[in-house]
Amino acid sequence: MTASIRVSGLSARYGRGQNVLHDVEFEARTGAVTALLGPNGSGKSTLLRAVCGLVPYTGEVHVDGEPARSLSRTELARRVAFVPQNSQLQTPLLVKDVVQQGRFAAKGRGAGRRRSDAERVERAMELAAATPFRDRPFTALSGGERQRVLLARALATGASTLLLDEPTSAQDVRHGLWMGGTLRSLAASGVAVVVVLHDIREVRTFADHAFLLSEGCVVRSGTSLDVTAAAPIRDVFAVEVVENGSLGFTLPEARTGPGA
Amino acid sequence: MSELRSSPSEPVSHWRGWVVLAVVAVIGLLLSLAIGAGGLSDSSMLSTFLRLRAGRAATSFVAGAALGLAGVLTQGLFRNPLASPSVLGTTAGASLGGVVALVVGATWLPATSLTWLPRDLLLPVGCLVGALVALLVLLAVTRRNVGPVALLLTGFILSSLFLSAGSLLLSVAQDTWQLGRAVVAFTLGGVDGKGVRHVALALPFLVGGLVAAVGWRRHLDLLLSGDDEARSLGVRVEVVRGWVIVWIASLTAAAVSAGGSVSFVGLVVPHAMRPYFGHGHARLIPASLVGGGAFLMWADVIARAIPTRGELPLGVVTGFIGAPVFLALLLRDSKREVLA
Repeated sequence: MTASIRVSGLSARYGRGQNVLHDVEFEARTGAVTALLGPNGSGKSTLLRAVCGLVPYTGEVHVDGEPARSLSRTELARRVAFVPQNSQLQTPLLVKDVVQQGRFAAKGRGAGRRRSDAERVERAMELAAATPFRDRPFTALSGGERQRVLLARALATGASTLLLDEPTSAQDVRHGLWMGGTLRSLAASGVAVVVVLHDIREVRTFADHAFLLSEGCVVRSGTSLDVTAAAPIRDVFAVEVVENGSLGFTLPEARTGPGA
Repeated sequence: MSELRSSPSEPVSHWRGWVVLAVVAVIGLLLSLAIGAGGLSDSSMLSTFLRLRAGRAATSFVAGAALGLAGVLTQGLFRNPLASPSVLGTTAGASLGGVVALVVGATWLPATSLTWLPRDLLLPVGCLVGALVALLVLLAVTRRNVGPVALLLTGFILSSLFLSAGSLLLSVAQDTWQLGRAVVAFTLGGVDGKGVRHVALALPFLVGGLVAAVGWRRHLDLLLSGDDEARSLGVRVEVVRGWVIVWIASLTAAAVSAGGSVSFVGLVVPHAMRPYFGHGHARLIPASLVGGGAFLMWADVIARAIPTRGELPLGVVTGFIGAPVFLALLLRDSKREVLA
């Protein structure tokens, strides 16, 4: 597996405030799910936002081996898609039109309005289980449904790297499991998936690799099992991990979609 | 920041919307040709009256179209349904710029060697500079992503400031009777006596604004999701914002220089269009342009039809229609806690 995103010596801050990230080393590989884990305010979301150029930073970010700073805004959008935790969109645009926005940076003549673009949009909605509400206003959807639409919009870009900020935060247990399974399928199809997760069980279940952040620094990285072992979790979150008798869920084999 | 959610449901049908718009515009044009001082029964004066009335109908349409388009762009730029050039002080800025141009053109310019400067261009240039300054000041004050109430209050304060400055200039201008009359007529707004010359001056701005707005339509849709989401999808936000500001100022200047200081068109028209044309800019932009033109043409008809000693200024008619609509929107959004 090759590195899709490589971050070295990255520090970032908002405005003139203190650094939110300090000298971060990070890597996300093609074909794998990489989780970012850490307490509130540890810099997970800021790291995602720095990678897709939304936060000024010092240090280096490489996308597919090229410095992110050398890529134009549209070229970066073609390679890296970002799924925010919540959208700022409060206008009742139709879901299909919101997903269509994912084709904004597409290359070529008539880009975004070709038949191939329409097919890609439909496929993205299918993958994100957003097709049932394609003709509904975005603002009429629940939080969980909106997250699926935002995932569809990101998939419509065709980017090879997907950054997701807490995509399971508004999902019920069924849709949370479905979301994790979808991210694994996307990784299996060759996408580099980077996902911020709060639930340690989800990190173990869905992620191949994990980075544990605390106060803007990466304090542990490795396989998801190593990073979520009792010792690092106790050190960072100040909680004891109980390995026996914990509650778990799984999707029934026969059911495919989250609404099945 | 507040948001654009003026009509929560989906558009009824944009074809039905175009039919309604076309009917309203055609009836407005016919009434505009039929109503006014002087009867059309005298065949010797018929062509003269029709030419004069067609001129003012065309001027009111172009001014209204420019304001309708500027309204869509302003509401998109600020992601605020209550934003419009008049509410945010851009119209007042353009008006002040126009008054300055009138005063400079009548007092200072003749005493210099710049008498070769075309007087006709002075007013639109003054309006453009005024509108640009007003928008840039507003953006400088509100750049830290202030809430919608702060944005509207800043617009109100700027409007008041520009109106005060305009009144100061008016009192100075009244030393010369002719200049004072010109400044008052321009400030109140109206298309009486306007025609081909004024349309020719405003039309390039309108066409340019339309071409630019259509070109930016997808960018504007993306900006509805906020700067960060738009950036992550490939929009060069600062570039788009910069050009949108330039075109809002240009369109407002074109409208003010042609029709004077006319308020609320840019606020009312996009709201009236959304139930028919939806929230996507691809349809909203041309619809607001035509809707704005039709609205101001009708306002001019009403201004002529109401029996008064003179003719009602255009701004008075649009104010009577626009102010209640603005209040209704404000109350509705307050109930939804949009402005909280």
